[in-house]
Amino acid sequence: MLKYIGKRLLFGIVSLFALIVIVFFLTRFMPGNPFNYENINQSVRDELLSHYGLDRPVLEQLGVYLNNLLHGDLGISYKKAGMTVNELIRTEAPYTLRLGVISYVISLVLGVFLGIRMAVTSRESVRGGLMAFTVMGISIPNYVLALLLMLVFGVMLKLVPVVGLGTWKHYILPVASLTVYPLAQISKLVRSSYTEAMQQDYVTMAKAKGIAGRRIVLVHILKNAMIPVITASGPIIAFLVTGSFVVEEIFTIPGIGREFVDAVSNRDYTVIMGLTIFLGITLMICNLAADILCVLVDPRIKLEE
Amino acid sequence: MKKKLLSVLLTLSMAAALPASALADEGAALPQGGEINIATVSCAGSLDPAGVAIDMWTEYAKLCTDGLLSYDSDGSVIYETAESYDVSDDGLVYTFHLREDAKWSDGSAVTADDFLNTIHRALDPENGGAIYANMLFGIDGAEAYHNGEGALEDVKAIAVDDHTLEFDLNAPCSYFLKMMTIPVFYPSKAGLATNEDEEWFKDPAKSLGNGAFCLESYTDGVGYTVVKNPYYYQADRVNLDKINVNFITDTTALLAGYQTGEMDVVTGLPDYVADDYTEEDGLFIWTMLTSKFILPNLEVEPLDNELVREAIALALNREEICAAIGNDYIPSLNYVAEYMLSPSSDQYFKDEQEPLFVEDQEKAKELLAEAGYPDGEGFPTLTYKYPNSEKDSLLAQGIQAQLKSVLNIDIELVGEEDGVWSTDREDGNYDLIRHSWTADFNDPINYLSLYVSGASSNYNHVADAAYDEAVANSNATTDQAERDKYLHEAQNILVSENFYVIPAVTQVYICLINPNLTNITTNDKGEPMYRFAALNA
Repeated sequence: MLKYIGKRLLFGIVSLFALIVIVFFLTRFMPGNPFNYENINQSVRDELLSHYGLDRPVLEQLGVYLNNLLHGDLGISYKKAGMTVNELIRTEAPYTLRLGVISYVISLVLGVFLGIRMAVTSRESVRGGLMAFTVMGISIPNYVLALLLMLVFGVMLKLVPVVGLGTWKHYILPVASLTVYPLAQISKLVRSSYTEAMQQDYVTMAKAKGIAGRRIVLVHILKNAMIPVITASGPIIAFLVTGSFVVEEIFTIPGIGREFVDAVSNRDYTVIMGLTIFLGITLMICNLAADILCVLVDPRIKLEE
Repeated sequence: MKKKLLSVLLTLSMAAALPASALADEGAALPQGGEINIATVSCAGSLDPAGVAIDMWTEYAKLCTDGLLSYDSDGSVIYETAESYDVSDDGLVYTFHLREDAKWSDGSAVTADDFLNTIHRALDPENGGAIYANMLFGIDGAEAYHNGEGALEDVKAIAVDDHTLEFDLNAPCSYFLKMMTIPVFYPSKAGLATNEDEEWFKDPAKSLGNGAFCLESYTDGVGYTVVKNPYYYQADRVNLDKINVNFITDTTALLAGYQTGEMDVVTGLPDYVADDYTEEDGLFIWTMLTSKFILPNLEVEPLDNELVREAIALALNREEICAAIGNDYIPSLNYVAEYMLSPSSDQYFKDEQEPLFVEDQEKAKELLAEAGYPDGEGFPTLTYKYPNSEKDSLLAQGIQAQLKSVLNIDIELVGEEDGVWSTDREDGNYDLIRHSWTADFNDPINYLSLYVSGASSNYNHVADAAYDEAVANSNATTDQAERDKYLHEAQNILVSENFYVIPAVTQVYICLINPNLTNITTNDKGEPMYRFAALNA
């Protein structure tokens, strides 16, 4: 097990390095630069570029960047005066992670519940209704949903606020917009794996042994039916972190998704790099954790494979 | 729809660009207290006047910082920290006398040193962020110090005593007083605002205000809050207790925020808002000092021919193009911003002279024929580059369609992401490109100095001795009427005689302001000012 984790981490570091180098070159080869303020004298712009060393050869810039990175320094933002990238991530990542975790927990709990309902119910209308919901949930892009929710519940009904993350009420719409897709996805997964698991021999045996129906449903079958959900959780969490790009923009939430979008259009090189690294590490950890969890739940899976 | 907006605009300009509900009413007692929320579209830059003082600073300074003097919507001087000023006969020495009751929000006096603090920090050769440092180069010794060639002691911005500030210029500068609204001429508290501490402006203990309000808290990416400054010398005119400034970049969110009542002031809204709202519901049109024009590449055939450039300028029906773009775009035949005030009269600069040219499609055809391309025959396909926004695409399509139907010439449209577009503009990689300029201060020179030979922002390399001379003459005279004449001459050379730039449109900002908010004024740039605003319960 430890050997496996070590190996995965090593691979992770190699791919992270490749990611850093590729993104570094991509940012530098994008036309434009961080100081393309619409209304600025060309001489001032040239001076800014040379002040930040952006007029030096790209390879030299990469060397400086990697050296700083080894010391844990992600550099300073070119756009946000006096702000380091480390500080930016420290202040803004919590918003994104909080939204992501809340959405994940809600979609997991509700998704499992709805999935089981769909699998075990004998009423066609319930199954059909839930199926329709999951299909819609998967099809509607979250920015459309976000705008729709904002219009209906914020502007027309005036039930909830739509700007920022001040009180708990502010969380309702962004969390709802983020939750629907993973919720639908999880409930679909649970439904199919659950339906399959219900026909397994151990279920028949458990029934024959006289174990209560509820216990079979919630303990015996669920444990097996959860494996696909755990595997899918890595990408789902990734979706929640990256999918928040648009939702954060729409609801004016100062998270890293919004920062990322702004950084790319502003050519804020260091911020792009820093957030890429941050998201890369997050993804790697999520995927690794999902794989390890799978083994813990299902001893038949061998990590080395 | 278009007509409706134009009539609104007309009314607004007649009422000194103020909605009736917001007209300043000094006599009646105004409601005291209250808290409002303002949304700002851009959180670019910082609150440091000696740093990247762009959008965010502009909003902040209107609330929290008093400069030496500023201008109202008529262009009349408002004395802020300066009580008076003297100019030497040779126009080289400006002396400002500061009011003695000017105070920072910690109760300390605002002195000449606080103004020098900003100037010295902006000129500091180690400070890479001071984007307006070059605006100080008229001061003797400033440029040399900034370039690392001179000493700070030789910068001739001098604190004669606590309340006397003197600037020695290296040449007469007839628009020097107009430049007092540029960030680098605003004070920052000496000893607290330093270049060593790059984040001082986020800390309310260091980021003091000397205006109506002062900073209470600052949250990165979210916004900041300002509260009434008890030490302000005009504190009795300040009515609101607190203003929250929020950074909202998404225009849908901006509008939704106003509709839910979370925001009292939102700026930069989509144009359809002007159709859905009336002045009574809070519609406010900010007549920006901005100009969008087409830059022809003077080194490319056939655009090196004046006749061709003139044909393009005359062929466009700007009214028709703007009707397709939306309410916030207004036709313009001027290079200098439409709403720029004249330096020597109370008129708009554009109204002081005959139009620079008249749209005339027949004449455009004749000009093109004269240039050797009758009915567009043999005319090469030209590229037109523009930033990839919805509005700019519509503008581009309008230009393309009209040049085809009038002149029978083909334009290839190339929509580019902002950064790419801006790089292409710098590199001269275009035939025609959409350019724009927004005034840093309210004087035509801010536009006309851009196309002097060799100027760094002279992207299409205009080199015209007559133009350079007209601009130089305007700088040399202290007589504003004579200066005004030279500025018009310069614009005539740039546009009517040579069409080095092809004027197209100007833009207004569509804003919504809570109708319960009164006593809002506007400054010389058409911006709404809330420092003395009051909130009706």
